Amino acid sequence: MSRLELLSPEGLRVDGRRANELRRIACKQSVLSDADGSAYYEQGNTKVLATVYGPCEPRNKGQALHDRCIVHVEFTVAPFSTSERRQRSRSDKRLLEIASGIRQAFEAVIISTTYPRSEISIYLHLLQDDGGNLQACINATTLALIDAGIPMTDYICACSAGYIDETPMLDLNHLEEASFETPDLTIAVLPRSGKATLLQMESRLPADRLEETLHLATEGCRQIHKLLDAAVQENTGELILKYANAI
Amino acid sequence: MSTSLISPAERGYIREGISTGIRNDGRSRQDFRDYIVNLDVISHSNGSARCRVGYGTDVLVGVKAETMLLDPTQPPNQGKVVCHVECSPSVVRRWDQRTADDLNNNLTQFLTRCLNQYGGIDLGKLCIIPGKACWVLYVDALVLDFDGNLHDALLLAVRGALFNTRIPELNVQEVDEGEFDFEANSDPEAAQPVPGWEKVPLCVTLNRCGEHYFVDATATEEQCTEAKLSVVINHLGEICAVQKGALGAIPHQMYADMIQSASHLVTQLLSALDERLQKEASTNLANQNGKHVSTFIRKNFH
Repeated sequence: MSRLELLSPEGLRVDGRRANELRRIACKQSVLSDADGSAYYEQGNTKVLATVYGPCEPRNKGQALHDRCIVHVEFTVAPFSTSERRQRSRSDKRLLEIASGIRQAFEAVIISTTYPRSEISIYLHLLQDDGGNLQACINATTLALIDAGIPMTDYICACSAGYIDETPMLDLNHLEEASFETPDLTIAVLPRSGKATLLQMESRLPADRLEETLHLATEGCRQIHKLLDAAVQENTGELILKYANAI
Repeated sequence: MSTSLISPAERGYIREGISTGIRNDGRSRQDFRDYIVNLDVISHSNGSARCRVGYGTDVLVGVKAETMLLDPTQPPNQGKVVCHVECSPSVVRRWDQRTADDLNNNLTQFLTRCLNQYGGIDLGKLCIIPGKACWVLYVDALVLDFDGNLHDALLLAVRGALFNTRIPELNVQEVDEGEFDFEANSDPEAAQPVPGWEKVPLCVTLNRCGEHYFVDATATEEQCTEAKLSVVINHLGEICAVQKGALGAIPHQMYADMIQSASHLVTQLLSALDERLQKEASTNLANQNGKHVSTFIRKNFH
């Protein structure tokens, strides 16, 4: 077969990870000054910047709901993010789909009845693309919403998994994602209850393997939750110190 | 530029501060805010930089070098620089969509003018095979956050990104009579810097307020100015572009004075920036063996 070998006989992947390993994750809240909440999230070479504004008066007043707030999500991709330069229009269907997926996932956890007749805007920037955009966006949004102080019932942690050479694999990178016929599954989980708020899969996967792959992805979400929680605690600690010094 | 409202009292206070020479944040009229330039932010690009002025204005620039086949309408022995500036939706949300598109267009044209004809980059050296193929440098800027003085921040970031850019070396082979083929050398050591990056100009925007003018306005200060003059000057002190912005006018006798002080300020800004770039590049090099910390996670200001 001329196909690129994605899993070596020793069980190592193209970037040297084992099948059940995540890429290196680095994240930070409050990275921009103007926004109500912002977060930077990096998973391997995929880099996302999320900003949150609101709750504020809806820009389009006709959309306002009398009993809860609306959530507005915009997703943009920087032209230099991919290895080939590519400029995408705002109405790119793929981008709109990701944005609406994220909106639906977060509408489930934001306690929206606290802010009737208002709007929460989430802006996502993909600065560098190396696979797993959706999961990175969701995790970045969770951090940014927490930074903005928006009440939520739980974190949302997302992780992707695939199925290559009879092996379930955690956290696919661009090379693995792009290869022909790799099933690619993204799940977003509420870590406390273990419920899923988003599930997307592309390509084909044997039905009896779904359970196993899902389980691996959920396990990945658990690990990511720990990392996100640590980032939130660190940021809150810094904030408390700042206030303490100010008094 | 911003449409958010400002009260007459606040406007009066800011204008008073400018005319006495002590501004809101303690700066004098000729003082810049502190800024940072981080290099190598986006590893997928050939060069990148992020410039943050004060705690506000934040510009990210990525440069990509791609080969292109020349078509007959283009000059046969020149490469190309294609610029694109985009304000992020979180920045443009303070304006309506049309104002934002206008701003994006204006900034794109401004940058194209600054970089293309007399912008310093040696377009002749970007030619690979005369009449057949050349390099295109795509300079894409993303405005992530806004607190005034976008033009200056944009050119600071662009100069940083071009300083950081490495163009892969090409091995050109003659396959047939007059037919050439080329292949990129994947060795990063063999990659070359952008020819003429050191000639890329910088911009200083002077804001007129009454009889005075001041530099590096914050977003609130920009609302109190009558007119802006962006002066683009290169390392030789040559004026590469001038653009008047905002709604008001500038009296004739002020022009000469403004341009003279702009050229003085650019000289200072240029040497300070180049020093920072060298320092940043050497720390990046030192970090290469250890772990590279992303610019967004680093603690930049103390």
